[in-house]
Amino acid sequence: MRGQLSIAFLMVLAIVVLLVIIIYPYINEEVENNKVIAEARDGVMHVIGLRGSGFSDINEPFNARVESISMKCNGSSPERCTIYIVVDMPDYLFSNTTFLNSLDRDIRMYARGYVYNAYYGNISLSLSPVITEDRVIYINSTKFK
Amino acid sequence: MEKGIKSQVTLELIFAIGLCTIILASLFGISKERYAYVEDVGKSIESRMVGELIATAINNVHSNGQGFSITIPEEKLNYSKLSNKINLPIIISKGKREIIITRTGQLENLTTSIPILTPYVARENPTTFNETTFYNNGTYVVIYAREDHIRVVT
Repeated sequence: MRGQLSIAFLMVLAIVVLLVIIIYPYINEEVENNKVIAEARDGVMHVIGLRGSGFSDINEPFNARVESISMKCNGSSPERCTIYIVVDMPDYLFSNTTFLNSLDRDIRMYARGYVYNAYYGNISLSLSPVITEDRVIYINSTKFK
Repeated sequence: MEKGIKSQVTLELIFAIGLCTIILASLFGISKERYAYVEDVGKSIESRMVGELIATAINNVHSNGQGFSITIPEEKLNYSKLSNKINLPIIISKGKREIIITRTGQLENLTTSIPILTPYVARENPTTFNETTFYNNGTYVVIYAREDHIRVVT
């Protein structure tokens, strides 16, 4: 009797395989979205770390924190996705619009670079959207609060 | 011992090993990427700290008047180790009254500057004083350092 599989086991296995096949596209999309957001967050944290350590227009260290990163997608073939970034900044920096504009540009470039990395395996700094087989991903202007 | 079950690996064990491998592989991928950017940010902070250290030394020597000197020991400012983090020489601009630190970052070239109090800064080769000694001679803050380590520009 050794080496045989029971009917019950085969049925359970079949149900599991069926379930996986049915929900795979949803899981796959969710995994992709999570990866994109995680990469964008890494990019934002990287540039905030660099600029916050003094390598910026204002030449002085500052504290900033990634408040939230989210992504909204609509349409299909290609699906158009936009990443929204909110960064918590110290109040005294809000009057310096030149600096904020420059930081916003850098944040979008790094976020874009890291999102590009999620699909193509290398970080490419640019402001153009990331174009994949079935998606166009835009990085929205950073909201500072 | 029962015959026939020697050296067998159960299906559960194979599944468990497979699952562990997948999890570890994904974790390794994440940590490798994070390590690269954390290292880049860390090097930037260290570079900035070096600039702050030199600026503090110049400002203190300037403030304390003629004859005052400070030597930054090699344990604190090791140029051979520093060359992995920043682009040497460290530039001191008299006109702008700042120390300019540049480094080749992971993705871009980075520059920062740290203000200093005085434009009266000069550099000499470290013959009469040890490397990285700051000495106030009454007119200038003289930095005794090799030119490929620190350069004073107008």
